[in-house]
Amino acid sequence: MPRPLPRQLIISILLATAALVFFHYLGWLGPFERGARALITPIISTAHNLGASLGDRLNFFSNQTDYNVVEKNLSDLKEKFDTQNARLKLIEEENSNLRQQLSYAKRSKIDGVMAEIISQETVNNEQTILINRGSSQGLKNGQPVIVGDGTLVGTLIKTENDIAIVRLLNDSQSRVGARVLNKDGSLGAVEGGFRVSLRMNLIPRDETVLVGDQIVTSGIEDGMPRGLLIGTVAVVENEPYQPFQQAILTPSVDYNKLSIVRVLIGSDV
Amino acid sequence: MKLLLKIISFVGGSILLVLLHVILVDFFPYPLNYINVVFIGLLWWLIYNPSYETKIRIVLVGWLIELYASTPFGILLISLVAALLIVDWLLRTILTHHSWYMVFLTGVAGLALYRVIYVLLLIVGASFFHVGAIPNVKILTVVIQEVLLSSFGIVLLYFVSQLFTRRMNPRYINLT
Repeated sequence: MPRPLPRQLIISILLATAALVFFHYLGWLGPFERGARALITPIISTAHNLGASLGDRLNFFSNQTDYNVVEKNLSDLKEKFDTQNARLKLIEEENSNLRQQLSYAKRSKIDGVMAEIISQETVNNEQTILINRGSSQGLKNGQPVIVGDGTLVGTLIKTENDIAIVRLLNDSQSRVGARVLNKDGSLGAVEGGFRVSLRMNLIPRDETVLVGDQIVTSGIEDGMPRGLLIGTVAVVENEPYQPFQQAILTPSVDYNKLSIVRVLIGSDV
Repeated sequence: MKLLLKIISFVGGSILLVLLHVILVDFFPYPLNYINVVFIGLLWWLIYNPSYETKIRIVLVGWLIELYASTPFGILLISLVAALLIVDWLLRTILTHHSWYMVFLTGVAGLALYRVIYVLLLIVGASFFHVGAIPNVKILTVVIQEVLLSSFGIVLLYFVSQLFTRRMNPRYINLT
């Protein structure tokens, strides 16, 4: 039987833990934490890339080279066309309604900061990613994060001086106001927590939502521009005993294959 | 010089455990990516060498993973330290027989404690200090998967360790 640890040593461990937390919130540990991150972040980034590439090799196909090239080209093309199609539908709708009071410009005029993904969430089983930009580059909690020409992938939930954490749309705690690009302009809320799919809730039952309809952000929330592409409707659930209908969405991007993102920090946000 | 090497190997071993966790989380497909490699490593260390040094290692590893956690600082660290100290007490007083089923029970108890304390701290933080967010009920499915898979993981590590050391083998009495 191993000797029990003296009480004083256990108390010293608890005090050390409490001291780390206390001095962190006082700000005294900032330089040490930044130094540790500066040292460890490149290693963690390499480890993340190594793990991801090893995982990809598990999905080896016999005609790997050709399959990878064709699959990548098709994915890029589809994402580009989906985003352009969503933007065109929005512009047509605004022109037809003659919105004189809006000074809506193209999305590309919103200031953004490009960021590289260092790692994905590893300890809390949340769908979050770590990026290599932080508050020193103007990032703040709540700012939207996009890829490509305007596909929303998540929002910032935590920023430090040199890094930030993005909660992806397929995280169980993610909620974003959205609208369907249909004739009714149905509004709802998109939430995650269903592994690879998203779910749009609170859609009025008397409005028509079809498989294949595109979903974009509604712009109702502060800091979230409208028109950012989220996904397309894969399944519609409209039960007579439910007050609202729901739609299961296929996201426009694969959240496991993100490498570069853009955080929207412009004045419109 | 010897002390310096010891410190370097201590810190390096802790960083290596975190890196191994990052690699395996990205490598394994769902649901195996829920295995908590950090907890398995620390628990195995605790079973293999329940010294003061191991307790300090728990604090260091907890601090390292806090640097990259999405939750408010301190929640993971306090949960990890508290859970593993309680597990250490369990290993000394109740689960003293180092058989594979006791190791499995230790894993289940330790991880369950870790996540219970984690959720309670999140609730306290969100309710009284307005930091972080209260997790919703979907976390229960994730936690159950994590507890079961990680416990099987530590049993696997236990069987592998028996090939290389007598300390993990219950047939040999630990006189330390």
